[in-house]
Parts: sequence; C-alpha cells; structure tokens
Amino acid sequence: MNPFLCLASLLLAVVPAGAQPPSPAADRSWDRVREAGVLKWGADPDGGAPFLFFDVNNTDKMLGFELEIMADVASRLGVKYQLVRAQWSFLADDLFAGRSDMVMNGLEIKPERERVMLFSKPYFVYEQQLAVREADKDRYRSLEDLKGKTVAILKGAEAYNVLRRAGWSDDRIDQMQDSQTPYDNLLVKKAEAVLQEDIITQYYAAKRPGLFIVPRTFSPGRYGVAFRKEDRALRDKIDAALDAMKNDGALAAIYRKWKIKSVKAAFSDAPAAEALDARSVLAQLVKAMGYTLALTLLSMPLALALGLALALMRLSKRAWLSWPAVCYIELMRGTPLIVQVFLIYFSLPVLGQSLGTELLTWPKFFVGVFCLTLNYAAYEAEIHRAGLQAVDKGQREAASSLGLSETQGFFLVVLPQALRIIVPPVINDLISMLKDSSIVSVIGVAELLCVAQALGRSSASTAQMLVIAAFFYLLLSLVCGSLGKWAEARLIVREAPELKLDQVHGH
Amino acid sequence: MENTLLEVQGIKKSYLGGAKQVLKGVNLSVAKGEVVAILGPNGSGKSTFLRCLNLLETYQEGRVLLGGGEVSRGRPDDHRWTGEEKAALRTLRRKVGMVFQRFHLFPHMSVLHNVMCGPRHALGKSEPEARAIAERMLRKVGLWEKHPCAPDTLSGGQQQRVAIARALAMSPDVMLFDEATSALDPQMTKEVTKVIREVAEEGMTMLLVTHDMDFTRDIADRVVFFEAGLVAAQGTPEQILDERPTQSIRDFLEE
Repeated sequence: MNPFLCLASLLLAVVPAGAQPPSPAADRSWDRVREAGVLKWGADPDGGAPFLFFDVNNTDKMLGFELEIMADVASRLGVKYQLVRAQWSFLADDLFAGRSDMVMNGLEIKPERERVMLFSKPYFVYEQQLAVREADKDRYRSLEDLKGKTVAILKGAEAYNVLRRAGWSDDRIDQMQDSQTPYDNLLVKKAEAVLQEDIITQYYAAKRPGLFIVPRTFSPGRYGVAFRKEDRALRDKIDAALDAMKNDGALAAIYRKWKIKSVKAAFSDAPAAEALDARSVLAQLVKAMGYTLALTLLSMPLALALGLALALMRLSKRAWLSWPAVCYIELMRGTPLIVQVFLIYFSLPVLGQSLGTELLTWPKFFVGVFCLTLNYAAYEAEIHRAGLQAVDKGQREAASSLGLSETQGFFLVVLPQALRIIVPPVINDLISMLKDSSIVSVIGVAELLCVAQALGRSSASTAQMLVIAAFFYLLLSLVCGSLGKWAEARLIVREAPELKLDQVHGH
Repeated sequence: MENTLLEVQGIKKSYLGGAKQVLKGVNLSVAKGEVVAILGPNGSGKSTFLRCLNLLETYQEGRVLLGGGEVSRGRPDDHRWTGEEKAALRTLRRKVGMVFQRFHLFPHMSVLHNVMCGPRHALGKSEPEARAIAERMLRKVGLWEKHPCAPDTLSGGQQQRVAIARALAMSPDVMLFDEATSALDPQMTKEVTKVIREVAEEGMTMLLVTHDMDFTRDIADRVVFFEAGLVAAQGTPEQILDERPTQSIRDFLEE
C-alpha cells in the first residue's frame, strides 16, 4: 500500500476510537479476560503516590494501594493482572482502543465520565483538603478565608470544579502539570493555598517542610474502576470482588497499611518516603539511557532505508511514484511528532481490528520505533535526495558506458558516493533523534527523560534529575558524533584494504 | 569498404520533440583497426554523434551496425525499453569503450577497483580474473604502482590513463574518445596521447573527437569533418588539414 493511503487510513481509523466503541452482539468481556487469563489494567505510575508509583530505588518495582487492591481482585477472579502504562490523561483512550480492559487510577466517578464509561462501585471515598504555608495557618482555616486569593491545583483535577463552584475565576486558579509543583508555587508565594484530594495532600504536603495541612476536609468524591461502556459482565465481576474485599476486611487492611484516612504526616513513614539511593538512581537512569539508545539505533537505520525508498520515488519521473512521496514527506515534516505518536499509537489497534488482525498490537517500544522511523524517514528522504543529486551525472554515464545495468550503477557507483556526502547531515539527525526519542515517553516508553521525570517526582528534586538526564543525553550525542566521524573516515578510505595487495603480489 | 567493423546508417537526432535537430542523417563506415578523428566546430554534433554510438544519447532515426549485426536503431522519444532491449544495450556498451573529457573515475574506489569494476560486474568475471585483467591494463598504461591509490590523489593525466585502462579492461571492439585531452595541460596531454597511440598501434579501432591537430595528424588514418549535424567532408589528415577543401574547414582551422 502506498504510504499516503496508509497514513490516511490511520487518520480515519482514529476517529471512531474515541467516539463510539464497537458494539458487540453478546457481552463477552469477562469471557475474554478469563480465556486470556490476564486482566489488562490501565494506570499511570509516574508520580502517582500513594495510588501507584515506582519504588524510588528500583523502577522495576511498583508500589501503591491500588496495586494491592488490583492484586487482590485479580487473585479473587483467578486471573493475573498486567499493567498497561500511559500518561494519566490518556488512560481512557487506551481503554477505548482496547489496550486495557479497565482503568483504576484515582479516576473520579463523574457524570461526564459516566456518559462514555462504565464504573464499578466506588472503592475509595476522598475529600478535598487544603494545604497552606505554616505561617498562614491561623489566617486560612477554610476555603472561605481564601476568597479572592490564588489557589494552586493539579491540572484537570476535581479541585478545579470545587473552586469554580465556590466562585473562583480561572486567573485565580493555578493549574500545574503534576501533583507536586503546586506546593512549589505555594512555598514561593505564587499561590496562597493548594487544594487537592486529601490522600494527595497528606502524602505530598506532609513531606514538605513549612507547610500546614488544614484539618477540615470537604466536597467528597468517589474513585471507581472504569470500563468500556458495553463491558457489563467484566464490571459485575470486579464489583463482586470489591464487595467481597469490603466484607472480609481486605480493603480496610490495605488502607490501614497505607495509613490512609489517618492524621496528617502519616505518610512520612510510608514506603515511598525512603531516602533516595544515589547508586540505584544512577542505575535506573543508565538503564533508561539504554532504552533511548536502543530506540535511536533501531529507528535511524530503518528511517534511512525508508527515506532512500522515498527519495527514489520522489526522484522518479513517474507521477504516481513521486506524488505519494512528496505528500508523505510534507505531511510528516509538517505535523508535530508528538501528534503523530498519539495518532499512530491509538490508531494501530483500531486499524488492526478493522483488518481483523492482532498483528498491529505491538509493544509500546516498537510503536515508538515505528513512529520515529516514519517521522525521520521524511527528513532522511530529503537528505538522500540531496545526496543523490549531488553525485556528478558523469558518474552514472561512466557506469553505463562500462555496460553496468542501472541497478548496478546505482548501488556500486551512485549510492556509495551519495552516502559519503550525507554522513554529516545524517549524524546531525541522529543526534536530534536521540532527543526526539523522549517524545515517545508520552505513550509510556520508559526512556531517559521519562524515567528522569518519574524519579524527580518521587524524589522531590526534578531539576536535579533533569540535569543528570541532560548530561546523559550530551554523553550519547558526543558518542554519536564521534561515531559519525568514524563512519565518514571509513567511507572515504575505502581503498585502504587494497594496500594489502602489494604484499600479496610482492610488488 | 573492406573489413567494415562499425557502420552508421543515417542517424538523425533532435531535441525538444524535433524542434532542434542535432544530427541530420549521419553515415559513416569504420574499418577494423582504423583510427578516425572527428573534427568540427562547436555545436556541429560531433560529441552527440559519439555518444549515440553507445547510446548514452538515444536517436530517433537510423541504425548502427557492429561487425555486420545491428546493435541499435532509432527510437521515438516516448519509446519504452523492454528488458530484452536493455540487455542488448548493455551488450553493446560492453563492446564499445568510452573515455570522457573529465575522466569520471569512481572516486570512492581505488585505482585498481576502478579498472576491475567492468570485468567484475558487467562481465561477471571472478575476483582473481578481474584483478589479473586490471593489473595487465594498468601496466599497459604504466600506472600499476598507483593501483592502491584513490583517484583524486593522481594527476589529471594519470587519471585519464586509468580511465583508458578501465575502458580497455572490457576488451572492447571499438574505443570512443570524447575530447580525452581537452581538460589537460600540454605535458599531461603528451602522456595521454602517447598511451592512446600505443593502443592504436595494437590495432584497436578508434573514434576520437578532438581539437588537437598535431595529435590528429599523428594518429588518425582518416579525418571526418562535422558541420551542422552532417559529415561535411572526410579524407586523410593531409587531404583535410593541408588541402582544406572547403571554406568552413578553412574557417575552422584558422580559428
């Protein structure tokens, strides 16, 4: 299939993904899980304490009360569970795309969500809780005392609606990207208070000196497990398991263990509060660097190969070959990589479904390689084109005049010279791909930047982790740069092996 | 003509769909072992004619025979080449060697590999065979000691001698020289013409497009004078260069 059509169908395929889930004749949602023996659980472990988060000293290990609930539910149902990672805001998309069977990750049961998803009974009830600076603890005792003041929150959280209902305007609501930065804003006096769910407030605010947690909580809300609208059978099974956990005290035991609903500062001795071990942090970053390197070293050769094919198509005199290549190149260069990553990631399974194959449900890592390859192929195509055009026309004529075929002339004479010309720009792109590979972290590939940010959130020193990550990126790009110089030298001194001939012939 | 090797019959070539006629029906017979110098003013079509002989340029009418058999014929501009025709084209080019004004050695290959390239990949010879041929050819042009070098480390004259060796390595029936010495200074020209003369003395059939009158007198059996896409006159070097039978030849030689 030509790449343009392929891409067009990808784009079309993504539309039904969010809009309307496929309607099954019979609800086989539980049967599917039982037959597979695996319950695919969508959640975002990045900075999600105490719900679900990485152990700071071992990112292979996760902790959190939701993990323990999940383990218990799965064992009651007689299946295993498997975590499907994604950024929190994309958990629902993964669910619709069929990557996960359910989402359990601090998802509030809200009317607008219930319109598109099915919810279990609540497994947790939270309330909103304020944190203020220690010095202000007598001034601000309730939300009313803060009228007209700026309040920092987590972007997209329920706190936003609470504030709006209480009369706050948007410019007095400071929306931050993660749970932790609102407290930074509070401490540097860019905000007068932070409003978050009690469980988060008690977990994060208790760890930060100089903060006071206002005891009174308000505006209760409920967390529930979300399912696709039609998966009633699966929802009922999970509801039954949660009921059983409530009845036999298993749920209460988990909450006790995590000291949830106890007084403030309770979390200071919870598992995640362990001191960060520098060596294990380094080991995790090195491992993540390996992912970054693997992403790049797999994607670049593929992008070069696809780019060469595109360049040849583009240089073709036949319009039906050159036009699709031109369109593909302009489309891939003209749209942001991050958008392409999302579109491809969420369309692939849908495309697979409509083609009736499961071949397209690749692991995230390979989706990442696929996206980087498709995107960079457009740039490499233009580099190849410039390289091929820079080879003197006489070279092709000389090859022809020796009786070489067009193919031989291309591979023996033109391409090697073009490759020599394109080494510097390709190395340039290799280095930029190293850094662009961080974009695939949005679909949950645990590469360098992703892990550095996660470590930063767990350790409360994001800046420090980012500096270390930046150093690693620099290291990688220096290595790639010297790799390029080596390749350039090698391509130019192709004739060196011939020197041996002297010895063979004895001249 | 006795012992005709190459016969060109009524070649016509035009560009821009016939708007610009470059060759207007050229006839020429070349005997085996004959050395033909092609002279003529710029734009007279002599280079184009040479390039038509191994189909680096296609032509619309006429045909070319080599050793009595047709090796190419005129084709309309929109002709689509079949696989068979392309194979025949490669066969033709293996029999017709060409040396260019600007050498066109392959810069990414050593001198040795440049010369081996044709026998190895076009003739399908084995590596040792191709190497033996290349060594013989490089010795013939006196450059065997340069075989491991990159072409761009050689002087222009040396590069052109390698290019001659590269063409000779295919054991062609005919050699075409397209202004082979025009890009060289007098000293280098001397070393290249010396090699060409040696090749001619071994009995190679040659067509040379050249501007070098001394070289023409020295080497050519026959001079063909091109004018406006036609053979305007031909004869021995003395007949053309000394007797100067037409006004345009006189103009050309006095330039």
